[in-house]
Amino acid sequence: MKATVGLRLSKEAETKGTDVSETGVIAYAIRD
Amino acid sequence: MTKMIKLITAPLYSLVILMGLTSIGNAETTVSAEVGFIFNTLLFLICGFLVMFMAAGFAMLESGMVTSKSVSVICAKNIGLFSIAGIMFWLVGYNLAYGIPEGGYIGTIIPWSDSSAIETGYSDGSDWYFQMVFCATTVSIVSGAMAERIKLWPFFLFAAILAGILYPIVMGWQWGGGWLAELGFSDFAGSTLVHSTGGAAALAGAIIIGPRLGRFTKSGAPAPIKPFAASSIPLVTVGVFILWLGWFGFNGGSQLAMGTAADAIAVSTIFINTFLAGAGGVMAAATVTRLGFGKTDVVQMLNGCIGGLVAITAEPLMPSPLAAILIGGVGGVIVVYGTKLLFALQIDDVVGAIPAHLFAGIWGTLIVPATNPDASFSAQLIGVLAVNIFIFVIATLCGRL
Repeated sequence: MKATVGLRLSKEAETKGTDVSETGVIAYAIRD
Repeated sequence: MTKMIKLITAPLYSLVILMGLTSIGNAETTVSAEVGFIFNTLLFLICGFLVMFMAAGFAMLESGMVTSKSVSVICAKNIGLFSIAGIMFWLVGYNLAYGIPEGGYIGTIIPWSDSSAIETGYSDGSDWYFQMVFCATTVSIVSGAMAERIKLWPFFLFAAILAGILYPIVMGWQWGGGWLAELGFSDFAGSTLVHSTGGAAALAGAIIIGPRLGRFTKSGAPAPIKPFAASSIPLVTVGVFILWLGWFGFNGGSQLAMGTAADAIAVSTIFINTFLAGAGGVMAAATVTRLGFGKTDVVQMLNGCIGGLVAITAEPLMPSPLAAILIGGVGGVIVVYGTKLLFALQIDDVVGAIPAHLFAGIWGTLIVPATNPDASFSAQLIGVLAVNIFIFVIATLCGRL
């Protein structure tokens, strides 16, 4: 899996959060 | 006077017995094969519903434990993995587990098909459903440990491998009548087969993928809590309550029969022990964190509950209520110190799945001989090592290749 599709998100995607980078749906509109 | 009382009460007493309003005689009554079939099937279905509800518990627990920027993907993972697990268990999993030859290592690769008969004691479909939700639970355990940095689709691919191949193989070793069953290994509802399997896969995944960015400082200590704060402790609490409720189906249904009074009593005993072990885990974690670290850590209390429940799952029928509290209590303590161990090793398990499911599962399985005279420590140790090493190695290979 690591060699083909890759397991880990890019640093940029991880910093933005998986909601933005993976589903495009934000769970909470209000954040700290 | 005494004669008069007897004259009045004797006919009433006979009437009560005739009307079936007392349990006298009922315990010795055996129902017909068809009625037993119906009750056994009902047990599988109702307990299966409870276990399926645990998926909602995992989704809530994980959603609450991750940071607020990674919640919706947790929901996607949990509904996705459950669907994948169901399809894979139908396609190959069930017969890979139950198609195993006696004392063997692996079953057959053919889809499940209905072969219900009165003689089997329950409908085949109800058994498939009950076993399928166990399989999905195993995959649910893995989900949270790698949260916030794993891609969604590679996780789905691993979920398919775990649900369709890895879990059914170890399940068949014991519950399918394979080599572990022949050895005398005892795992009533799956402390090892379900929970350690999920925990070992989670450990492999967390090691391969590494910690979240900035989770540990250069000195190796965990980073300040705020950037990684759980998004919703109330959601975690709801999740744990749902899991605790679902556990009655998990352990109670594993009696696998409800056609006699003895079975009904056994299921009730299992319910009591399951509840008490969870409670023991909560209070042990609360006490240890307060006395040892100065604060009563609610996250550890919640995970302590899971640790207690996992610990009793290997043998929820035989322990006395006090023993169940102790077994669960030790499970809760293991969760607290297991979390510290993972921090020290810089393994980032976002939800605490590894201490609660792997470490507490090992404890629960190894302590079985203390309450069940039919179990032996050597068989338990072999079972624990075989299942956990097999899952950890194959999961590592899947991730690395």
